[in-house]
Amino acid sequence: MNSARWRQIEDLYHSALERDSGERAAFLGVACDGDQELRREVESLLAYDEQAQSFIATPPLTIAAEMVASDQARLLIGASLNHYQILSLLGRGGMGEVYLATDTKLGRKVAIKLLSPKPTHDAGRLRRFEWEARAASALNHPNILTIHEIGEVKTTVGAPHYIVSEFVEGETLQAMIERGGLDIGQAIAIADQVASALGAAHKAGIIHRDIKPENVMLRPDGLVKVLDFGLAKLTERPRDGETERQRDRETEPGVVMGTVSYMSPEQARGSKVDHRTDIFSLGVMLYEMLARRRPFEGATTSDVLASILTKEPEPLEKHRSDAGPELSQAVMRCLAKEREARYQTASELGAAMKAAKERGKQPPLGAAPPINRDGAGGDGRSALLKSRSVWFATAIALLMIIIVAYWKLASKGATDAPIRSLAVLPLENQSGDSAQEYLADGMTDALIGALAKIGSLRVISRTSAMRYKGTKKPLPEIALELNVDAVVEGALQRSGDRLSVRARLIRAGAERQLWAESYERDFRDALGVQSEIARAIAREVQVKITRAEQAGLTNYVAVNRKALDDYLQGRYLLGKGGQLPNAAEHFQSAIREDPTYAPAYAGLASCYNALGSVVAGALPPLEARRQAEDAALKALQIDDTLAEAHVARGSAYLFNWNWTAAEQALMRAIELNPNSAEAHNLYSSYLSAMGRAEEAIAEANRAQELDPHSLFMSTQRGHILTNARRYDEAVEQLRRVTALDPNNYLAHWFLGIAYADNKRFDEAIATSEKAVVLSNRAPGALGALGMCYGLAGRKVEANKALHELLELNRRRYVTPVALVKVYIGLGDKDRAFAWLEKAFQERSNFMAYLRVIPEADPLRSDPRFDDLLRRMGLPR
Amino acid sequence: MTTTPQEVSQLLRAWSDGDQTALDKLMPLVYEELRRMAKRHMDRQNPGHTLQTTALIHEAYLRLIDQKETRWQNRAHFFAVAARAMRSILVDYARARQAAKRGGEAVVVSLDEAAVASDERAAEMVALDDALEGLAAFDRRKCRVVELRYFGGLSVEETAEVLKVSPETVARDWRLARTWLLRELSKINER
Repeated sequence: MNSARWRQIEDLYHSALERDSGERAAFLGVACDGDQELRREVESLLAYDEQAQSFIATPPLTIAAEMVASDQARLLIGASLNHYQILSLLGRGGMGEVYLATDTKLGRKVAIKLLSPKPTHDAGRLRRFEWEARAASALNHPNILTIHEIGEVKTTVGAPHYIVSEFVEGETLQAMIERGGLDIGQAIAIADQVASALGAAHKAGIIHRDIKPENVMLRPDGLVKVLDFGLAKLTERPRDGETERQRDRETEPGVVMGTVSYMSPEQARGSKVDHRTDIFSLGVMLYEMLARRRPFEGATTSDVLASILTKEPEPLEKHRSDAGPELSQAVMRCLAKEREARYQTASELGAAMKAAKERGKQPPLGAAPPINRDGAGGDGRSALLKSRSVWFATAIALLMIIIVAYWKLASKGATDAPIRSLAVLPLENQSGDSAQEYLADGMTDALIGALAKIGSLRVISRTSAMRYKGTKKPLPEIALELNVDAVVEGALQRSGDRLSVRARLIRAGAERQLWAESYERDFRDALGVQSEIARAIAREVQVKITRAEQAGLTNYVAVNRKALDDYLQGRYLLGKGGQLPNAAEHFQSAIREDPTYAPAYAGLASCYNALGSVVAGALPPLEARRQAEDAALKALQIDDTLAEAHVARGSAYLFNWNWTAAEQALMRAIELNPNSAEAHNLYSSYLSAMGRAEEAIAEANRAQELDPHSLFMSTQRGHILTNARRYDEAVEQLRRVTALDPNNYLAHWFLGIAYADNKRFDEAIATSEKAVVLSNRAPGALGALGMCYGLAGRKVEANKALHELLELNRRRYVTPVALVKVYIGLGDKDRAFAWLEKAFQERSNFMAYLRVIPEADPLRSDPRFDDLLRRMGLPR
Repeated sequence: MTTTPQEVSQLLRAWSDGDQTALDKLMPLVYEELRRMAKRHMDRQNPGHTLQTTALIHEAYLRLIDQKETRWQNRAHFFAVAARAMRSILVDYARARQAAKRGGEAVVVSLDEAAVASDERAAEMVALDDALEGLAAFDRRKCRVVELRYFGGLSVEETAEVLKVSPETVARDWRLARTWLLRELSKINER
């Protein structure tokens, strides 16, 4: 159409529209002036005018959304995908469709699985899936399906992934089960081969997570192939934003039913799984093959889940009388609710299957029908165990209901309670190389260190957190033990220079994942990853972070590997106590490795402080503290924000009676690391020495909260309570420690004193005797025992202790405090003051507490006592 | 996307100052951003739920454009580019589906129950695009009006600003264009 003509049409069209419809014909008749074609054109347009008012009114995006809504990726038969020619559709599953295709390059048949585009949004999960799928395939195990290629197809709806694998002619176990007619021998042979595949995968650190008949293929010659290793990674535990959609899908009846039925209880609960989840699922499959029904059934998905969590399956013999008790027991063992009660490895299960196979070959012993064991008396113990596990399962089910209710509430906009406390569980070393343990521990340590700097967050200290290394305890239990709102857990894997780290943050109450991330980095950037994780977690828990704290999360210094290793070992030994010289040796070695490594100096300083204490009595206190101060100073010259160094310095100041400096250093340490149990503990000691009993107890409580598993912190708290003369609480606290650790001499020592101060002399003597034995007759403990004897009026024994100490003193250094105590017990004030003067001269740790310590009460009225206090710069 | 809002703003300014090459650079950026957003929105929405094109483009505008950029005409120009990008996205999408039906390409999209209705929609979308091309052949401006109003979700006034004509002209163009397009599509159906 030429534009002049079109302009004509346009003008007439609009002019006609200005007129009433009745007048339009007459108007056009005149206006077109005999040009019939023009007239027809305009009239034709006018005829559509009214209808056109509602034309293209629906926003195009809405239309597009409709088109996308039910999209599923599909390959077209006869079409080609790269060098694969699609031949036919083999099947359709929850994860996508499977096609038969020809590899035109290699001229072989392959299977192509096209994944639905949706579950593959998350790049991190995708990488893990790829890694696991390839790793499993690389095992080259005859029972594991070989994967040729993983790729993605560009389509208009995204890029769904496809997996090209060997084509297995045969059928799925699901089809076989549906057809019925698996005999016992077949079932055992299949289970044995699946166990063999799982065994190989588990050894390589790969968990299948979705063992079900659909994922097991059988060739006509009987060879079994396990499919889809790693695939479950794509669908399990979605990240935050996806949770809702994922859940919706899961509650659609029928959709995931098949999958749910094979879930282990730990999967059903959504908790962390290990390789034993596969053993459970294999058990379900085996049960189904034999009984022709699933062990855990229900009308809806949640009924099935509840059944998995709470119900014991019906005895196999009820449905398959020829199964025999051994096989039946083997199946039931796989199906144990607690994974500890299952076969612990796939090869164990495989061995049981082989044994069952052998037995099947033998002629049956007599023709007696298998005994139905259900209802038989059994022994009382197993019945009790069974009822206990039922009780446990019921409790779990209840918990689930609570969790679901909570989840619903939480997702309805009610904001979650803020996270104020956190535990970082030891990162798991998945490198398959124990030499990388230090890396996992070092990163855990660094992560705790970084997060601990956040004032508004209580972070469990390393010694308590490290107790959960390799634990199988469920997270909620750990969270309860540590009394925290959330838990960080993760794993790392190192191969060559590649480091991959995964971490996630889980809210403890609801066991809900708040954040998860994986990092793929160069090994040398390990601490950079740690710093990123720390920042991400800080962001997720949304605590208030000051500018300085923010900076602290970002700062990190690369550390020499050997130095870090030595440092961690030193810390470990220091925490254990009793091996102080060894610990010092490691710190010194770390310093030799890296003379700029400040934490090693701080560790060394702590060692010296401990070596000079009355308890260790290994070095004269003045000498020990001089060394401690030196080391702490060096640490601070390198990094003056290092809390541990300030603690070590504060400790040295405190016992040198440099009161003001001590308080400043300790407060600075707490400011730098509000979650340092050591800092709070030392500050508690300072406050106790100052007679600020209530504050001291509060600080001791804090230290204990931060390091709940540290017996040292608990013992210290007992000591502080004793000084505050809250004897009952002190006794209770210290007895708890001695009950937990019957060989802890320090706790016995302090407990003996607490009893003595409380005038419970029999108990004091019994406990102190233990402390003497446990400490290998440490002078301090011996002195305390002598005091107890003396106070109890048993002068003979008191004198015996006195002579042992005096004898020892002729041969080596003996802390004067031991003799002060015996003389107090014997009521010999003059000698007590004489030795007290010695303790004063050498600045014994004991002196710092002189003002408050209950044992010193008999000396208080003496002017020499006031004089000592004055000389130490303490008020009366 | 690695492009900074400053870059996008600059391209937009260059284009509105008459530099046609700027549009060539701008288009893929806007297209990519919109495609990503549209995909996300489409994934999230239920069929039948009205999805406001304008809202989407506005969001893209906020994401792509340096907000310190104060030239008010830029917003209109951005919408013009976005409308064109939107058209490509939606039509490409519909075409891909059609191709799938014909078996023309290896991998595409297919559907189950809801498929039939939306297949028709896809056909309509493609037919509309073809008809628009036909219209553009002898009346470029009307084609642009439809693009801006329909695919870009612009108001009459905004469209007028972009095309530098009066709102009355836009209203007239819009009316005739729709009528003409409807008649074209009806002709196809009658065949």
